[in-house]
Amino acid sequence: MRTAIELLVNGVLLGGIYALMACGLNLIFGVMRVINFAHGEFLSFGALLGVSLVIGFGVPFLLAVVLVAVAIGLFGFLMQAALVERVVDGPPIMSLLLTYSASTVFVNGGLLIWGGGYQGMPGVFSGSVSLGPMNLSQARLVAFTVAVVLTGLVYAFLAKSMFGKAIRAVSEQPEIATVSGIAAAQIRYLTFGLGGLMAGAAGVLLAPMFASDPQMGARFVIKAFTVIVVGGLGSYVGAFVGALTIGVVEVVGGYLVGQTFATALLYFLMIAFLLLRPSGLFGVGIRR
Amino acid sequence: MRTRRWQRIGGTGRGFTRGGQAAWLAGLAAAVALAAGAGPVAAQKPITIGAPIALTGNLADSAAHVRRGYDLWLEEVNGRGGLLGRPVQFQIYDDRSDAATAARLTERLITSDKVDLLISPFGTAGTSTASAVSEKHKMVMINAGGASESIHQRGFKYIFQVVTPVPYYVEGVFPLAAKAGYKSLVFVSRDYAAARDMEKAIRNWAPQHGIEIRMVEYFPAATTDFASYIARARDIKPDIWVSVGYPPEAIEMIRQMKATNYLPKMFVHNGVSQEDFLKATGKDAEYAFGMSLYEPSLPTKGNPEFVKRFKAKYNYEPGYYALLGYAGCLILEEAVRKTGSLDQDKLAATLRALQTETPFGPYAVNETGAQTAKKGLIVQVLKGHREIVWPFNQKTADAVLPMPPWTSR
Repeated sequence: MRTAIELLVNGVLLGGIYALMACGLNLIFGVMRVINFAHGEFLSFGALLGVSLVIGFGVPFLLAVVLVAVAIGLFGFLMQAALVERVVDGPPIMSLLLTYSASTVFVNGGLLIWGGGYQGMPGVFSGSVSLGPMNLSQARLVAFTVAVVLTGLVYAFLAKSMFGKAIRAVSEQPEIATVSGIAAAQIRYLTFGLGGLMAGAAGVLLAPMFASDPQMGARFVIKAFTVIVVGGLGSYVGAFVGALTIGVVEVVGGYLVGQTFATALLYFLMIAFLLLRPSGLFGVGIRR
Repeated sequence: MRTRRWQRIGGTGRGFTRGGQAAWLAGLAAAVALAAGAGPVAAQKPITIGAPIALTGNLADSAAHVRRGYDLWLEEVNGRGGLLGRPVQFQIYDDRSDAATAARLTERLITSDKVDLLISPFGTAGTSTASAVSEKHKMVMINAGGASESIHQRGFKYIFQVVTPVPYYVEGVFPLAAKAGYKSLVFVSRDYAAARDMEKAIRNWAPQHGIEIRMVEYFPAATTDFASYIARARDIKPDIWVSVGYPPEAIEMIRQMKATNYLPKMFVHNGVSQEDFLKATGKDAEYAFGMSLYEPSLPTKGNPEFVKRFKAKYNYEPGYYALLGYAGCLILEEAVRKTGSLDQDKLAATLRALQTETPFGPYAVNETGAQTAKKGLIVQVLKGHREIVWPFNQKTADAVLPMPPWTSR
């Protein structure tokens, strides 16, 4: 029983990080119908920048989360303005290829900046917290808490603020939004920036748990795609619920049937959703 | 309007490809013409060593060290006057950590670049496919980075292993465990050929030392979360946890063990013997055991001088990946000198009979070309450094067992 609860909690905590990553990715997809392959590099840059700040310059961890999130957010904003915006009206394959190419360039840029070695944040939230008979990871608790707060803030921003409403308007009815006087291009910059901000924060939060290197993005971005297929393409809430589901399936499944089958199970889940419920749990479906 | 522009660009695709081919062929023709008209070859035509290696992809981080081993040797050999009185150069291609690409590049090195000598790619998968190509062309290949036994179980005659075969990586765990009176083990590993070899070795050695195998689990590449295996180990309480794979997995395992306050009496991972592990886990690295093939403190022939030169050039202490590249080149150098020519059949005969020692350790192979002389080491991180704790006659420290639990550090 203790093991079962511990696994469940561990899965949910892991899912929190996936949520931060997937929500940003899904936001970008929701607004622009652009699948951002470079999202993994937002994450790895976030993690490596975080390591540089915390280990290299002694910046406190939570401050590093804020600084890096802003920096990667700005990076996302610039990437949208300089690259993605130019193909956003083209066929989807154009933006797909563009973000894929950008991802490759970023990986190699990262190798030039940080080198190929694996980095970590030794001593940062590395211990455990005893909760009754359970032992929970400090790093995961911190990451989960920050992730939930941040996704919550972004959700509130989308729901309440003028900008947020404009983002949703462009996401749901782009033509009507444009004729209503919303500057769709600016909204797209903002969305990409917001996606980058969330991925950057996720990167720093991951750094105390996982080995960071410029090629780590690929290890996580695939999971983010699984999350949004299960949760629903373009749905912010769906990405959050999907992420928690994937986290639990990964950890509990790994315990019950081994990681090889648990990983297969994740993709089986993805295929099942694509075939039986392509809109996912909360998806917006295909825009016609 | 815009859509049409995209279609137009898409529509020109075929024409572009054809044009590209034509340009490429023209370039090739020009190159051939140039080569033919180049006149008499310089008296000192360099000896070229072909080496496909992972400069990008998931093996690139590790292979970068191998490459530095090549580069250091290249400087030295040319300083010694080259090979057979000719300067030496490398023709290196990036196999992108992909075995099929490695095979294609090997074909290109042999048939198009017409290299004189070959060194294998880094890793078992690439070495398997590349050596099938070199074997077809009856070219000798030095197997510097393919530790799986399967490479040498195909009846090949031109592949010679410098790296220690996988089973010997784990050998030392058993005498150490037996000395400490340990009785049970779990094996949790990345799923790749080397790990399957290691499982066989464990199944062979564990019963001989009275150790029970309680769990054997494989995880796919790119697994980052080990919570499920840690939970299972907590239930079945093994004395020893053995893993084989790449450094990030060692980093993630030890971090996640600490984060859930779990630790076996003995944690062993080959990744522990890489510098990245120490850097990324800091104090949590302490007491972890590593399977290693080489340490800078090893009393092998020429090792102190090698370590000095390597540190001077690259500003860090060499790990075993660097040694694979360096020792592979040294063995090739010695074999070519002994043979006195680049005749591949004679070179193969020399390599089969050769018995020598490099800073990496001894070299000798059996009739399949598999390494028989060079065994593994077990190291333990003590006070921030890797100390050799097995073989007992080469130890630089006594093993601390059991590893102290997280709460009492």
